[in-house]
Amino acid sequence: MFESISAEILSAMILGGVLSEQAGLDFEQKSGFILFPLCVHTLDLIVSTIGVYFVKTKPGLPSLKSSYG
Amino acid sequence: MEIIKRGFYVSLFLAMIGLYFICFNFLNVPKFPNAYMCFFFCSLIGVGVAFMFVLITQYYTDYNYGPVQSISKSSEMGHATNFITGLSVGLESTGLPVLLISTAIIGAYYFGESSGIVDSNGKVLAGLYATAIATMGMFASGVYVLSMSGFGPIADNAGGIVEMSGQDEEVRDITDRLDSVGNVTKANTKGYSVGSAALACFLLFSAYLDEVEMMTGSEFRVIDIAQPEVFIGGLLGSCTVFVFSAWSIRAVGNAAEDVIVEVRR
Repeated sequence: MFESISAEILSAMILGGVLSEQAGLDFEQKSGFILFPLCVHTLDLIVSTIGVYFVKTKPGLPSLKSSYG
Repeated sequence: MEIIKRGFYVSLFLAMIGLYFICFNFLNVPKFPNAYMCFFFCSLIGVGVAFMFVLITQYYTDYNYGPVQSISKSSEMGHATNFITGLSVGLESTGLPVLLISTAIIGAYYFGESSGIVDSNGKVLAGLYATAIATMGMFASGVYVLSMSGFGPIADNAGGIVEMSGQDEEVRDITDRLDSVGNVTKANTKGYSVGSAALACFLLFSAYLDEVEMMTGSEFRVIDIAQPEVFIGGLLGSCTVFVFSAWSIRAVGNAAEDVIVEVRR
């Protein structure tokens, strides 16, 4: 899993670099395209941490009889 | 499962908002004003794929839905039918994810091309980068899915401890239910990582082709697997093998079940 994620980041960065090179953008926009995957993963860490705090349950919930969905 | 999924929805929702800001800040090109919106939609496709993967995995591994129930029903007949139905469900479960990935790749590709980023010769670019963004969008809640998979072994071990220490029936009921949720979440991560690996291998192919072209400076596209149609053709072709064997194996299983019922009568 980690391997495929890192491979994906690398290939996305390569593709972003090639794209911005071919489209003839200036330096700042190029770096935006290349750093975009890394930034998404930073977002991933923050967002998932927030999501984990929403997993709460009380004893007896969901009740044993009902299907848990 | 519902409670775990609630946290997943929250992180997906926050991921969508965050992705919008990241797209706006990082991919906003003054020359092509529409581009960042198109890229944002591509990342939304990725988020949708992640969501659908969770639903599909739950459908195939949760005991409230058809596939698992069909396996347990055929277990009434004996070992052989259990085996046959399990095999057919396992093979069949490849079909929907492959269809989903194919639609995601092709949708993101053409969304990216419609972003209007062109090179100096007017050639349309950005299709491949858009699929990369779709994968990024799929990973925008990847950490949450990974922690979901961590839940599986923990619940499993808790069940083992409870069973070996001879606890009450009541306690074992709870851990059994947690165990089945844990199995679903574990399978979830596997589906997720396989799906992302399929997308990643598409990206790696195209990134590799780009690198070789840059190094050698000549055209290197004899068999162009970086065309989304070619790649999807490969995916769908290999998936039909599994789906059709699943269906024929299921037909055999159904016939065997009928025979067993007849014989036992």
